[in-house]
Amino acid sequence: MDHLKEVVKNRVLGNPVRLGIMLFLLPRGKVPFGDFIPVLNITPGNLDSHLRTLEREGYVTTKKMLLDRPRTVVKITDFGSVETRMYIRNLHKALDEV
Amino acid sequence: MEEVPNLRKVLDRVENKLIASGKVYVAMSFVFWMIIMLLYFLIFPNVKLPLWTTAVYWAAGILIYLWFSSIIFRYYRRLRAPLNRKVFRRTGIFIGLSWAIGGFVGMGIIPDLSVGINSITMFSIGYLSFISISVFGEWLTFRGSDLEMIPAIVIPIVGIPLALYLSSSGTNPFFWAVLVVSLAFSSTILSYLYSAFKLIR
Repeated sequence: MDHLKEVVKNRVLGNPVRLGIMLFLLPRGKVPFGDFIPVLNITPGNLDSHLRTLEREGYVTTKKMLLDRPRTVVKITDFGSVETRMYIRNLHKALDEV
Repeated sequence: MEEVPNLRKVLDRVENKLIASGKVYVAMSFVFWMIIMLLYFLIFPNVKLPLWTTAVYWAAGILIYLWFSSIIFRYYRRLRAPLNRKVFRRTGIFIGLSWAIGGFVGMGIIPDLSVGINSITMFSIGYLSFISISVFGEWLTFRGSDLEMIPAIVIPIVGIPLALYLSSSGTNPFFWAVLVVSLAFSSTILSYLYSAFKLIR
């Protein structure tokens, strides 16, 4: 049941919205703020709040970038990618143990 | 308990998509090297340019390739590198080291060997060795998990004795070596794309 303990311990990715954000970011590397909204079906305020949590915990960084217009771009960190992949692996193993 | 198999299916799909994305990224880096090689043969045999431009072309080509590969590598590492944090950080060093060793042996030592074979043939053999050793090092870095890389390792090795044979037949051995590497890389790209689509279909 060690894997289950690891899954439960991770309060950052235990939230489905934050896990969704990380899974959307993982193959893409960086994503403009607005691109998350239709995919995750959440309000900008809610997204901003989850992104701030992820940024505080070191999973992502945010940066203003000039694309078609100035936009906030969210970038996954090495720490964030390792933690997300570990979380998925632990969840998978925990399910096997159930 | 019906949710458990469903959740497991979702997780499998997520993991497969991540692995497939990693495979497409690696295929892109092989495509990029092919573009550099083939562009050389589109331009240089047809335009009379001084010899030093060839050296400049390859030096610039390698630098652009390294820049492009480092971007690709960052994406790939995020998706596929071992989850041990120390190993994760060192993957870039190992890949760089394998290309440096490949370059040193293939482009430094082999072309300078005095074995009674003309210089262009030795250069071609060196080029094939460079590709083979470097890709082999990269393959080892990822603990041999990417079987798709095997054509890019084996085909250039098989091409070495044939390059020696060609040295007496009048064919430009370097042009031939580039075709061998193109064949090797095309096979690897096809394998990567096939694996990626197999994972997500």
